[in-house]
Amino acid sequence: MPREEELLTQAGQGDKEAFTELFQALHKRIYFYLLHLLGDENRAEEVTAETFAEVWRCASRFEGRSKASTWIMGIARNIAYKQMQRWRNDHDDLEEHYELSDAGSQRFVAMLERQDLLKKGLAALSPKHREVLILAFYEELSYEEISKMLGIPVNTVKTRVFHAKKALRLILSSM
Amino acid sequence: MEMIPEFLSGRLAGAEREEFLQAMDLHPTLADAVEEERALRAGLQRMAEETEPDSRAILARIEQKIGTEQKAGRDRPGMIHQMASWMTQLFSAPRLAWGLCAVQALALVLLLVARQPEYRTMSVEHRPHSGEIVMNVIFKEDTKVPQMVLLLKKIHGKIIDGPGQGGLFIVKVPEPQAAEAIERAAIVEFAKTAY
Repeated sequence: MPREEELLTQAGQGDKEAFTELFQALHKRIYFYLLHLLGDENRAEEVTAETFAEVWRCASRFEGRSKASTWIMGIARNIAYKQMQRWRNDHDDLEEHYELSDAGSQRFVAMLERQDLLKKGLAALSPKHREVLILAFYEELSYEEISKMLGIPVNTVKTRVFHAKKALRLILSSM
Repeated sequence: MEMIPEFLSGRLAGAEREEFLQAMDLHPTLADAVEEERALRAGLQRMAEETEPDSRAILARIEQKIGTEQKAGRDRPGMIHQMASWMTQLFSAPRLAWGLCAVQALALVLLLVARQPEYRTMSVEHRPHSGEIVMNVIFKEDTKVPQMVLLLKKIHGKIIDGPGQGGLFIVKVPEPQAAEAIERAAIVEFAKTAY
């Protein structure tokens, strides 16, 4: 059994050291995902903490059918969406505020290499688009894994990834 | 295009990888898309590396959340928890457990001693006329009503009360021979003169 899954199983048996080790191994990834989902550092930290508290509470329910990181990310997502409803944080689709014009592929690649621009570009995307980009290109989850996690068909994932990339490209071109 | 993630993750091998590389040569748009995704992955990776959450603060919050719940659980134990705690105390304290055993044993003894006798001969409320005898009678379980009627007719007996608790009948007979006949009857389980 891979290390993270093993740690999660041990945490499910009440092993606090294993839980702490699991936290150390995964919390930055979870935080990064939440930061782009919520767009706010404090909220991302709060939801990261709530996510791991929930992991501690229900680790015994982990059945090993997915990677530990994907399972935890699913919990993080559920909590984040509940919190977003509570905060009534209706993110505008900022994509639509830009006057969009497409740039050539080389220019797009060059912009992606600039951290400040990539950060701004991601921030301007809708949470849904940011989410699939993080899951597909940072977490490197397959379309099937994303589909299971988000509870949407695989084809919807593919379309969403396509549109997210397109939106990012258009936003960066307009900067 | 769908194979790009597989290619970039190094999951394409052998002939598949060769085919993909040839397709990139033939289709510049595919090659551009590969470069864009590669750049996006690298950019996100760098961004993640530069993102530093306040790990200690998050861990402290988690511990606070877990700790608060556990404390709340201890402070407000439900009925089940109280029972479980009481039972644990009971069975982990030998003196208390032996005490409980003794109380149970005493209760059993008292129940046995105080148990009512199977049959009781009681005084009778119905005062017999002179010469008549009143009896407490219990018939056997498998006795049929016609058999009882036949016996009573034969000895000129009469049921004056019952059946009571345990199937007790109060039967009036005119003479001692009739009482003896009842006592001897095969369908009678118990028969005694009331007083």
